[in-house]
Amino acid sequence: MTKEKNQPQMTIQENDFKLVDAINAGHSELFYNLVKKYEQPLFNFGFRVCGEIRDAEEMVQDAFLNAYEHLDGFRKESTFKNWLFRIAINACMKKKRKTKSAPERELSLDDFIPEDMDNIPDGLPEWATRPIDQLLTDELGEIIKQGVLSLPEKYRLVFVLRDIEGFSSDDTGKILNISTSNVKVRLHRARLYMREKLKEYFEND
Amino acid sequence: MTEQGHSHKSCIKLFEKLSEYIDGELDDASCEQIRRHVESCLECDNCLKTLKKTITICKSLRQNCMPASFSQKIDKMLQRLCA
Ligand SMILES: [Zn+2]
Repeated sequence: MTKEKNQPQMTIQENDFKLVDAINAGHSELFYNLVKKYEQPLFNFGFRVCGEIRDAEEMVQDAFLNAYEHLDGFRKESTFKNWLFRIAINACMKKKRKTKSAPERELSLDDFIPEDMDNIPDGLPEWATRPIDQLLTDELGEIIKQGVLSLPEKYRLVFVLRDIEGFSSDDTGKILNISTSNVKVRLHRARLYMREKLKEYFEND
Repeated sequence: MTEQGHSHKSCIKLFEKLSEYIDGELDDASCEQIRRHVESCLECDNCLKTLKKTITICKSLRQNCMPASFSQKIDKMLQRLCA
């Protein structure tokens, strides 16, 4: 495979566009570079969303196969990464996944509002002040994994893209084909839901 | 609703905006309103701090690494597809 020249001024996006052009012009071997760049984040995303290694692998494979097949239709209206994640999600949705997915339901803001505002706790819970490296244990990792998987899918996708994969609200909206304000609404509820999971874990210890 | 008001309603109004506040997506006036409110409302302050911590924890999770066997599988797929 060809090594790209080091051109510091070129952004990741420009670089990807150049690769896409070259691949579409016949240098199909360069697709390897795109795959190597995005297989790991895509796998992580798939694993967070599906919960099983096998399903995540299938998602990655399907996404790249589809991307390769439709690469000449990529219009550069978004970054290549956004386009790829969108393909991955669509491929995932089309396939009726065998994974036990959480029931579809709306998370209402009311569910998270403390009912009795007079019942003020004694102070900040201890976990909220403890340094992060002391909190991040394997056990907590498992709690979060299960918590994310128990989120209804429309909230789960937003939460994983936004808070785990680090996409912006705008990009998340484009990937999922929903408005930015819709992203924000779902994200807030998903976060509140996850906070409940962490509270349960830390406070019932 | 006054900014200092500690009615349930005013807390809920702010509660809805906490994520945007944390993400720095609110206008200055709303930010100031929240800052001032949490200074004197323990409940909302708690809410804000535990929510912040939740987000920080989730953002700090380690990536799940692809199994080596899968990496090889992908390479083989690429050889078939576009070598
Ligand atoms: Zn309050």
